[in-house]
Amino acid sequence: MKNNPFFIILPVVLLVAVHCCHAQGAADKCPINFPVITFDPVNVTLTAASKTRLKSIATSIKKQPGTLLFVNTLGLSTKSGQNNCNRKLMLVKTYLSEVEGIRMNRIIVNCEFTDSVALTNEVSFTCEQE
Amino acid sequence: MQPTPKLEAMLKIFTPILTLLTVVVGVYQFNTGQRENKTRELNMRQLEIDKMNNQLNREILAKFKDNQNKIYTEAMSTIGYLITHQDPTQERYKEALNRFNQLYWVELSSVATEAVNNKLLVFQNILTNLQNNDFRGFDKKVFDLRDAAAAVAEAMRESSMDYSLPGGLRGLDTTTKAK
Repeated sequence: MKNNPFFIILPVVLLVAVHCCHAQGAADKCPINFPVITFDPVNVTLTAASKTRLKSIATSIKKQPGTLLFVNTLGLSTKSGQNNCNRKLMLVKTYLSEVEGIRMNRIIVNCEFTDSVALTNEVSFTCEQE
Repeated sequence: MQPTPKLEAMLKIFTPILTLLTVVVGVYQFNTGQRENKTRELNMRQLEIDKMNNQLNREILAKFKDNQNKIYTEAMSTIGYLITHQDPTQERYKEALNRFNQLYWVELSSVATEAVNNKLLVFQNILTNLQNNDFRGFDKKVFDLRDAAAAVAEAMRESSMDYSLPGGLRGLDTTTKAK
């Protein structure tokens, strides 16, 4: 049994697996900058790709109780820009809360102003300890 | 002494010419006088129209400024309440917030100058971010709100002293064309 290569390889595989899982877990720990999601400038809706990304963000957040998710986006410095900015934030917040089940008070949304139209299509996410 | 036939012929020619010339000069003078009278009359009429337009502009401007001041006064008083009361859960606070949002999105838009709008945008954005997060961190953000409110009040004061209509009077004012 001692000479069986299976019993030599198995501990090595297990060691590697544990190391990988631990490393993965460490990478998931807040603070994290999650990948951004992009909105269409005209039709502000969540695409399937955005929903997938939000799901993965929500999964990560759910694993870490006591953390807050900060959702940031930029809007043009006009009333309509501000309105558009809040429209995106509310869409994301509602989705994360109602579909993914994250408590509303764990999601902090923030709209800031910019003069660049190109920057207004993205929504960024970070998480921090409460 | 009899006039020479040559002189007589010349007189015969010149007399009608002179008469014609007199008539032409008379007509010319009459026309010039008429034209001058007409120009004077037109100028007088233009002056009267300008005076009436001026009066109308002043009346419209006075109404606009009156309305602007009323809205500014209410907005400033609402902003004053929002930055000095630190319990956003109070019913009175919610009412003030609601009233400010009404003023911001509609009434202020109709009278505020660009400078006032820019300052209001900053103030309202801080307020909206707070509102969107159930007033989390309000005790810290209230200082930013107060700075923004002071900037709004200053811009409104400047705007109150400015007696030009934003965009002018289209269709009435001779300097601005109707769109």
